Amino acid sequence: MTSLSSRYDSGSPSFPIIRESLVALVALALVVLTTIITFVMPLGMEDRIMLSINQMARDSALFDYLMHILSYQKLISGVLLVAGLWALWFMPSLLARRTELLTCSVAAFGSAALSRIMQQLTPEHPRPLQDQALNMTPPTGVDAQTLHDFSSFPSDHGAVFIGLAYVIWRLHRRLGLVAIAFAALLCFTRIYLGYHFITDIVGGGALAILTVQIALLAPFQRIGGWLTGFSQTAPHWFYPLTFVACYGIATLAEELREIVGGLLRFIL
Amino acid sequence: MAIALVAFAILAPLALSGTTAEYAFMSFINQSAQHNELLDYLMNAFSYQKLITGVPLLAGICAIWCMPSLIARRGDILICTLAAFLTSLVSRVMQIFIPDNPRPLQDEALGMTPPFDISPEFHDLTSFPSDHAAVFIGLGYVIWRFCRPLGVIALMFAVLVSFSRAYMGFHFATDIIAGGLLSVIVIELALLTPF
Repeated sequence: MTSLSSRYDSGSPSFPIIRESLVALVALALVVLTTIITFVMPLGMEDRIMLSINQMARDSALFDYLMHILSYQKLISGVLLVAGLWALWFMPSLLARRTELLTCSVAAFGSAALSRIMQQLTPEHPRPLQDQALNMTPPTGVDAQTLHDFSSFPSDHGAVFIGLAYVIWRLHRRLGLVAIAFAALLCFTRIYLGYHFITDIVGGGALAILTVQIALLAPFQRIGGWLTGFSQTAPHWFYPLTFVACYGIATLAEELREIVGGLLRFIL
Repeated sequence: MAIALVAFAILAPLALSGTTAEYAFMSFINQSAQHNELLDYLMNAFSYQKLITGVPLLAGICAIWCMPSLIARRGDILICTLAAFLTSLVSRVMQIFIPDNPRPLQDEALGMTPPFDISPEFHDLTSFPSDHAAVFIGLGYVIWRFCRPLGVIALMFAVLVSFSRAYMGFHFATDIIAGGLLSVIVIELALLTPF
């Protein structure tokens, strides 16, 4: 027992510092770049791409429907990505990297929370569906007023999807490629439906990658290691709680936010 | 097990006939409706939010799955959990064959006041038995069977959650009790079979 748990928190695992820092810097640059594009200098090219994607809207009701359910049904989106995390958790060859898996997954989800905060703190940015200048045709079944009171930048869904896919890719190339392709599909649906601009998604994804890189730093890995140890010492606490947490991650804590929001209405 | 069967056999015709005792109980609960917004809100949340209903119960199943002392009984745990979910299927099938039994919200004779922001609209499934209660109480029962202390909490929670559906007017109290008994029967049956 003890030898296994000390394997988890044996100081900081050695990550190639230069490579990881470069990734973090590129991610940071992308976040800054997309922020500038969104608020200061919108790209005409982006609008053109959005509109050309929008040409497909309403052509096929089936396609619109599939895009719609991929974007909001958690079972076939968030749940699948989180299942990928569990696959990695139980792979015998990756036992030694469980701390990294846990810490980075929490970071990926944390970036969604971060992007929510950014949405509140940055000036209102209407979503493509509501952007008068763009004049998109909503695909079948999409209400043009959806999500109108949330700023569009950055995309928290994009952050979670890309973040989780990145974590999977870090630990397992092949599965990671599938995850990345899947995350890209999910992000496309949100662009197609007019919920987000492309730069919103890129910004959210870059934010997630940046957060994951920061989570590779020793202090975070140590906390992660401490938590991972419980999977050996107290599995009957660790796994139920992790299950609840994973449900939250897969649903982007939508239900929790709804409940807390509802309760706050009574207190305030 | 035998107790459950007998109790169910007695309960079923009673629930279907819509006794006055049932109505009295539902009216009694309904008195609180629309009085306390917080209560109404919490009951509503319990009735449809998965995070605070199914998820904690499944987390309880995870807990007993991972308990070192119960590793040898994992086969049984798996069978029982599957049986609990199967019960909802069973109760759905029952709902098709049983004559239409309107839910409390739709029942004119009862004259319920819906708790806030609930419209008496509903799909046309009969009210008896309650498949939600079957799964919730079923999972609670599975946990209790393998770990008493945790199971007591789980069962109490399952009953609370099921009660919220009665409060919201989706089910009569007897529908819920019947659903729970049904799942106990299915779970015990599953353990008897040589899987």
